Amino acid sequence: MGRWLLAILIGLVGAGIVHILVLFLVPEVSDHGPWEELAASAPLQVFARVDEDRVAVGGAPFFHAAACRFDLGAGPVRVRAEGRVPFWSMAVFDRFGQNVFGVNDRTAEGGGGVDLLLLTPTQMVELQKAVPEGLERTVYVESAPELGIVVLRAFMPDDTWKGLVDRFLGSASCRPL
Amino acid sequence: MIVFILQVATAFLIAFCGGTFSLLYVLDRNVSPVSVRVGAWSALAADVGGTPYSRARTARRAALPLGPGEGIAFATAADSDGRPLTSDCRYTVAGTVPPNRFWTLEVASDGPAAATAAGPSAITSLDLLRDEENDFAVTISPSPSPGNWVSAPQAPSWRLVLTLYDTSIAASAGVTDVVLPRIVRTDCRG
Repeated sequence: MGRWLLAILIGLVGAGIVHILVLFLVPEVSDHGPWEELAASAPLQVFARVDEDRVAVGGAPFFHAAACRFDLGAGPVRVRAEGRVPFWSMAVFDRFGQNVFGVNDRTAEGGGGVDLLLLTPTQMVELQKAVPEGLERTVYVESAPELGIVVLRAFMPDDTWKGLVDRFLGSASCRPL
Repeated sequence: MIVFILQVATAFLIAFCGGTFSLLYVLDRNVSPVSVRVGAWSALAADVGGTPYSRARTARRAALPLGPGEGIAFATAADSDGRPLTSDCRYTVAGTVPPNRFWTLEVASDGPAAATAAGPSAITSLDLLRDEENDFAVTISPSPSPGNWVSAPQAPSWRLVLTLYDTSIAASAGVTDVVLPRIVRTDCRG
């Protein structure tokens, strides 16, 4: 009798260990996460329109989105887009889909459109010593994780705006500085 | 000897099954991370938790929802009296919305969008007709209605999603002080 109870007890302790192990393994081995789904449609540092069937960004039918996976390992990445749409917003996620930062066309200073610089805290310190040309109106966004996802969402009140929205999202770029 | 092997096997079985199923239960229980309830509405918040559980959750389904700097979405599957939304009834969504640049109201159903008769599945605050007191009312029903109308799907279960864009409440902790429109069931058929 005692041995059975011992077996059950060991099993329960083991369940706790398995629970924690699998919890930490799931993000590492999953191929359904946002990073993996986006990797199937575009390489790093490239914006691609988000297919709602693969990655749920929401906002349909009024919002269209483009996403770019970035790697700050080689330096800061500049995110730009040309054109005007009635409203745009941008979110930065880490590699596991956790929200890090969010901004929209009103809260982003500069007023000229999408112009953000993603950089790690270390790169920020370097940059503040000498601001390169052309970045005076750029919004600096610190991202401690080097790998992450930028999502640019554009508002399309109705189909008459489709051309502008497509051009806006098509012009989006996330290139190393 | 056999008994000993059985005991060891039992321990392994409890460990493996207990650990995995308890984890799946916790992860799947909050398929849509719900943070705050306001009346009939529940706020859908992007995972800023950063806990191992929220990481594991987003790893299993690819979703990149609105963050605090962009907007906030509220969803409900029931009217303001707590009854589930059904396509046998008509609903009126009316009331006040917190300060925002604009908002959208859409009907969302799981699974493929059933072929509704040609009709809008969503409406924005920019297209809204308002009365003399600047109030609005949106009718949700399967058949067209005068005024602001959003078509209800033929799906057995569906949700209303109200998304506010560029609103101060998205980033603050004071979401519970917010007042959102009421969803009133007007009349049903059958």
